[in-house]
Amino acid sequence: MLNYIKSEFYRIFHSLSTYVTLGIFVGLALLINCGLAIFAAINPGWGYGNTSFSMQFLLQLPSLYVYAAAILVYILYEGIGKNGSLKNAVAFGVSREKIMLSQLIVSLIFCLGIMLVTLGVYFASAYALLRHEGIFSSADVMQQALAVLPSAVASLVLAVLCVDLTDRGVIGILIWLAVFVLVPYVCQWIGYQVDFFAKAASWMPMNFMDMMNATEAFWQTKDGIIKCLVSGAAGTAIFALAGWLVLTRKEI
Amino acid sequence: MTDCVIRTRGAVKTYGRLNALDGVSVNVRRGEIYGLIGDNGAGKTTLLKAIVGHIFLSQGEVSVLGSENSRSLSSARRQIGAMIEKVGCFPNLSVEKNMEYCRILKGIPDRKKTAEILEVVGLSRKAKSKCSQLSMGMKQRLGLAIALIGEPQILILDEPINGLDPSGIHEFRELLKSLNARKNITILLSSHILSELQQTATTFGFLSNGKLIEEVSAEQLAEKCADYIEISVSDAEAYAALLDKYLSDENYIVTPSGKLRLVAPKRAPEVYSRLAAQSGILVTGLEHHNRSLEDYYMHLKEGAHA
Repeated sequence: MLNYIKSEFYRIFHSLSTYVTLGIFVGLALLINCGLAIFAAINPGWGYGNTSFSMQFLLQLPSLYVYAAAILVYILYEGIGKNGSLKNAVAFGVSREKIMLSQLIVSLIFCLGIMLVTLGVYFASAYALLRHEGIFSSADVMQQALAVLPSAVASLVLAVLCVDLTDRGVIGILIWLAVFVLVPYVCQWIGYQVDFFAKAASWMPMNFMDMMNATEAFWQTKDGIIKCLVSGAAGTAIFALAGWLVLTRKEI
Repeated sequence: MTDCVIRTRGAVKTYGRLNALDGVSVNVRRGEIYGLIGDNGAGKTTLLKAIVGHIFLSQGEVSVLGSENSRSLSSARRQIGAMIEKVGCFPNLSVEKNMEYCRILKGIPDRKKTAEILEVVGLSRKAKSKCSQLSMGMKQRLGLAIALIGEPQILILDEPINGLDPSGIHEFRELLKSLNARKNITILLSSHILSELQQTATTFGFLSNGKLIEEVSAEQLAEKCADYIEISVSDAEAYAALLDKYLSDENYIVTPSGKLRLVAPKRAPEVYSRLAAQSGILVTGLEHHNRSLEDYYMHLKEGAHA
């Protein structure tokens, strides 16, 4: 299994797509803060050219981590079934269980790496280019990232399952969207009529993750953080079990 | 049977109502070059995929190097190098980097192995080319290179000469023979190009409609496909003396049943019957056996379907 992980990292470090992806994420981080700085420079009285607003921008969108995890998994494993490399691994004697576990570990490390570099650039550019004022700081964003991490891991596990399951990664991502995004909305909608669905929907991350009032995000409340952690852990366990059941029986 | 490195017993694989494999039992012994012969859809690739673990059998067993249960099979499969259907590579990585990926995956510490194997399969000049830019023949060579990494005990190759040019086919054949002879690598390969397999394999397995209809050694097959005339005469001893006297360049044997078998005859059949008639020897039967491997395969197939 260790050899499979090492070979995957060799591939990641030697693939142009890795650096293009990192460039896009870092570029977007820079773009936001540079944009705020430029607007602030042009309009001196403009109230948003500060680090607090920059951090609030991220704090309003915790679901970004969930989407980013799925996109990064797609970039890593799209076409892995079609190009036959999975066949090599199986023929070399790596069991399907080990392949799946390795893919989860590799994609988790890859996503964390991209996230840390992107957040690093985001914080650095915000503090370098914007006024240091307001109530939100980088510490809030880091806390948010930790709170959202279990849900992002659940998203990642489901994305690995979906992309591995289908020969076309795009179809895999559509399945991911259906399960992780569409199902919660449908449950919430049915929940207006059926109480069970309302309760179930309230535990689905996409239904509560982006809730925020003027001073406090959902995950900053006691109930919120419990829901974030429990639903993320439960999602990870459910999708990992589904992956184990499906992928270990998949013919390639 | 202890020298069997690959064995299947009653292998059955069904896809809906289709029986892709129908009770196939093959025995591949150490050091053999085992040629799987069959039409498209006969079950060759399905059998190879079941052996390397790409698919699961509906019934029956696969054994590799004596291992049968899934955990030990995975371990035994590390001794296999395989190229089945499409060559498995990352299209955006170079040939060299794909090889490095596989070297790391197989846990081979020696970095020189990559260059050595590329040299062996004639891909050194394309080492920096991206896989997506390779021709079909070059991809086949890369597939072989990937299969060879880690010095496997067993090579499993599905239609390996597809896409190769004539000189490539010759080089490939010589390479397989040399790997088999020098490194004692057991080779299991499939093809529907019978003449090619005939020049390479030491044992043949004939598959038709998912069934193994015959497993035969190259010697036995050569005998079955030999060109010979079998003559039944009233006096075999006298006829043999005639052959020695008038047609001394002919090779013949007298079979236990008293018939004369002229191996690779140099003349038309009527010459031999005329020789007997001129000396007053009665010819009671004359059969000319001259079967190509294709003829033999077709005959086997018809027999299996009858």
